[in-house]
Amino acid sequence: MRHLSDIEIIESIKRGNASDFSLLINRYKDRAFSLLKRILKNEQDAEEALQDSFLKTFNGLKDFRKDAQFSTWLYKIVFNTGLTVLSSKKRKIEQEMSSIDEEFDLGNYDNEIYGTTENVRQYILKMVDKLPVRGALVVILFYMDGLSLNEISQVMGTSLVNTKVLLHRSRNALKDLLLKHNYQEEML
Amino acid sequence: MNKLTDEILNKYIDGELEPFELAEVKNEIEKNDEALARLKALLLVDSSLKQMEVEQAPISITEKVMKAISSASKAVKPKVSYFFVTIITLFSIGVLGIIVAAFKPIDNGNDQLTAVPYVDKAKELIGKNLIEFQNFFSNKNVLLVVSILTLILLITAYLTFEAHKSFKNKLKSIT
Repeated sequence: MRHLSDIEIIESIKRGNASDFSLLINRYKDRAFSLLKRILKNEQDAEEALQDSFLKTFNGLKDFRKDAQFSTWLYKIVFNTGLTVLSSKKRKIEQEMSSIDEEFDLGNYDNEIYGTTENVRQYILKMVDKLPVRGALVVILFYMDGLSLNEISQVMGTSLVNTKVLLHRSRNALKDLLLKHNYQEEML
Repeated sequence: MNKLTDEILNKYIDGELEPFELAEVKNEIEKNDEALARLKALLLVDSSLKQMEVEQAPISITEKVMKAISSASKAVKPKVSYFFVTIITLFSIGVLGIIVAAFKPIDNGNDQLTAVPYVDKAKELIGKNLIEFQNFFSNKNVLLVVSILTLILLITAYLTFEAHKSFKNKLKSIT
């Protein structure tokens, strides 16, 4: 069967084939779920937010413009839904999200995670979860979803410069931890 | 390039440096062990993050979302045209009003209630109009036009009924 593009599927849904929306769900559910789990740090909340995000996406399809990138648009909905859920749970989201001057000091978590991981890769991936929310999300969108910095800035509503700063700060924070444990010696 | 800052090293791993800057970085790294260690650590972070795995969403999520969409679309009530209902209601109210007015008992001053004057008036009015109506239709040309119009109306009604019947059958065969 021919692989349908996102736009072709959307056109079909707009013609009345609502069941075709399941194709889009299956295509993006895992990546969207990964993103939400990073934001909400809870599987059940992430699942509920994922369901809500897809419903919002379906209801907003009539306003979707063909010239836009569907994945960026969807990630934006997922991102905002995640933040809304987080905010409703009163997790000091405003303080955490209002600026890029977030706390990138991961020292508090280092001892706990360093002692429980087997290798450098596992250690880095666990430390990503301890980054400030925005930093972690930039890392996820950049490395896992393969979005460009420009697309990430659209999703997160930040400037391109600030998005780049967030990515660099996240990488530098992780780099400092590797230097602390002399992990760089493993690099030939 | 005075110092190999973290920003420059980040640009290095993202391939954002100009060729002359790249040459300078390589030259600097050869002489600076501390900068080399930082670059190695950054490269290790970059390569590890590239291996991040996507987490599996719950399998039932597609079914749940599609079910929610389906029930939401069923909840939307079809639009009802209230035009004919309004017309018929107004007409009925009008007729009802006339009947009530015609039979309403009036006070004749002697505390005796009667509906007779109104009934007599109505009979008189109907009788007069009935004669005018008969005169109008006794004209041959009028009769011809009315007959043709009636025939057209009957044919149209028959065709509409047949079209509706075949559409209903078609719909039944699809579902």
